[in-house]
Amino acid sequence: MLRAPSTGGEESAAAGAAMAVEPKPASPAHDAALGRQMGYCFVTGAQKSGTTWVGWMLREHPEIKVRGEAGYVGNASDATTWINEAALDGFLQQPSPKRLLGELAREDLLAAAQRGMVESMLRLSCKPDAQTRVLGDRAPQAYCEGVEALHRLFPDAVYVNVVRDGRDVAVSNAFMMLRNRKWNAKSYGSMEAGEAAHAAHIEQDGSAAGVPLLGDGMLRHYATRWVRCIEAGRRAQELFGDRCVTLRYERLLEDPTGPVRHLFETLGVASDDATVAACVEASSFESKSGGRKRGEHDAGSFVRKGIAGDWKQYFGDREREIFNKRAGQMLIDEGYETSMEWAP
Amino acid sequence: MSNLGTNSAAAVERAAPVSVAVPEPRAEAEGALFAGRRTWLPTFFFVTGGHKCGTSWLSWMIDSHPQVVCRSAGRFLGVQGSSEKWLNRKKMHEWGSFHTVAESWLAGVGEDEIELAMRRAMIEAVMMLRTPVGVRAVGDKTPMFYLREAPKLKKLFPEATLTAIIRDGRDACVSHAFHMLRREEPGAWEDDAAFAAARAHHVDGTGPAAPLFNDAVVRHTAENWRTTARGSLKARDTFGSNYIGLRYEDLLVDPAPHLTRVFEAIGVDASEKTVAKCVEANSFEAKSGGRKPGEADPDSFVRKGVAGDWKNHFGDAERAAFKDVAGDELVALGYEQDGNW
Repeated sequence: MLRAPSTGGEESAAAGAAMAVEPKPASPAHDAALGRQMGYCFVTGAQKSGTTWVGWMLREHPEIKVRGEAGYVGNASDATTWINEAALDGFLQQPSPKRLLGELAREDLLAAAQRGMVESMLRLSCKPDAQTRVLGDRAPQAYCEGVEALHRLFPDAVYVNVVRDGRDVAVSNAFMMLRNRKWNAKSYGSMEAGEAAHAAHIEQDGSAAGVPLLGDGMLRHYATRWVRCIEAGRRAQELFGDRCVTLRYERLLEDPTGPVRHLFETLGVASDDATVAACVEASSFESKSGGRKRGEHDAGSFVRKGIAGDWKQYFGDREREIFNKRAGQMLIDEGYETSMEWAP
Repeated sequence: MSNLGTNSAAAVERAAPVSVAVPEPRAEAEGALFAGRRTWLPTFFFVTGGHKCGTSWLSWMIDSHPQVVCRSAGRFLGVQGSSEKWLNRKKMHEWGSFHTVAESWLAGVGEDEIELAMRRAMIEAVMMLRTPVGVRAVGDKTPMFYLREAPKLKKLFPEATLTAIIRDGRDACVSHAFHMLRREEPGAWEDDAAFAAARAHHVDGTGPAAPLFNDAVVRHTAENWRTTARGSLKARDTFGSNYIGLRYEDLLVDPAPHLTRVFEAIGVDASEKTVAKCVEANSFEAKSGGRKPGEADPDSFVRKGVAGDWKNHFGDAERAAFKDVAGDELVALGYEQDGNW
């Protein structure tokens, strides 16, 4: 991290010799980023939409360093809160800022400082090397909730929005919640009902047929949250324009090659066939699940099943009705249904 | 580029940057504020020295370099409103406590490190604002405070070069006296009538002969200079090989070799041609509107530009007062052999 440049031993001495005509390191934490423009990307979507998969594919690219779930905006203690604004106001009251910056709006200074902190965190954590051209963070929900804040700080970033059928999102969320034992009394109506769902769907004790995967409360929650994320994606489209890349999970399932190539092009990194294929293959369901094929279910795994339309197995009339009430129109708008007739 | 604000130094036109070699922006970035700026990582450096010791001249010369931006008085450390309090540590800590963050982003990183990095990031952000894309080195010139706070600066920017300029404290004292009269800031005078008489005589050239300063003024400026002189010795130890100590008197003889040293240290083109351009654009003549060094204009920020002017203004009383406060430092920095001057 913030180490003195002189402690790097042989390696840094060699680098120093090679860089004889280059400027000295800007900061020890980002030597490798020195003198090059860095692009930024933020990957988001409703939780369990496939952001992790997209993150894996990005990480395989030699010019991209993306890590996970820092959530620089979109939560109560995000980077927009890291500045002691009263103290910064004290600085602005000095004669120097005017001399230094001209008539600068307070908000601009705040945004610049906030962005600076995020950039610094990204460099500290992603550790860019000589090849790196893009740094980023992947955080489901966060960059949906904070899309405006993100645009204020990073108008030049690429916004990657992963979208998946909200009903599959709900099913996938339910499995994750059960696997991590994160249900509460509202999820299924009682803690005991949660235990029963866990036994049926995770331990798979044979009771699955009678025990619903989704409680009313959680289903309403997932449906509402999914709608909010889709809406945020639309605002991102307006704000980021061509730099908002929407990836559909279902389309990625068919073949990620085209969408991933488009994403790489937007990021301005190598997008030749070999690079795209390498990123896609290394991140495939089979590679990540230890050899299972898509559809081969492992309830205990983060890489559980990897298919589209799994919701049909778990949605009865009750689930359809609840989800449709909250998100039926959005399913139509997003092309997942043509009418509301799928629900009772 | 910054302007010099409303103070009278604005009278001095800054040399226009020669022309910045700007790389092609990678992608069109919206938003005038960022437009690719912060994504370009330059070298950071700092310039300091005593008040009225030539810090402005030095920073102008550095700023004239086409690959460099060097602005004035960010005062990021050591004064009220400085960057030390900008971080909201409580919120940072809250964020760092999220399990996703703590387990991956901050794994193995000490809280002190993060805090330092974030404090640095804010200073960098301010320094990068309004800095054209492609600039290789960005610096801030703040007299005094970076000498006084050298250890803090070193902690934040361990790799940065600190260039300090110092001058015979007695000349700084004279220069400061004129500076305060010109700006009508009595400061340590504590005698409005005497101050007005000094101003009338020395700046307006209208009144009868009057002393340029009184005992309190000499002592006050000598104290400031002493702080600077001691600070420069400490800063040299703190920054080690990253410290460049310059003398105003040497720059008067020929700034070129010294400027070359600074440019080399901050990693920008230090060719003879570039250095000469930076020197010429900021010569006394260029900055004073055609006067030669020694041709004084007491109403100008660029007043006289010579060494040894103190001999014209120091009587026995001033000598005694200065010697009393900062005589040892004058010897320590080699401006006198001993106290018998």
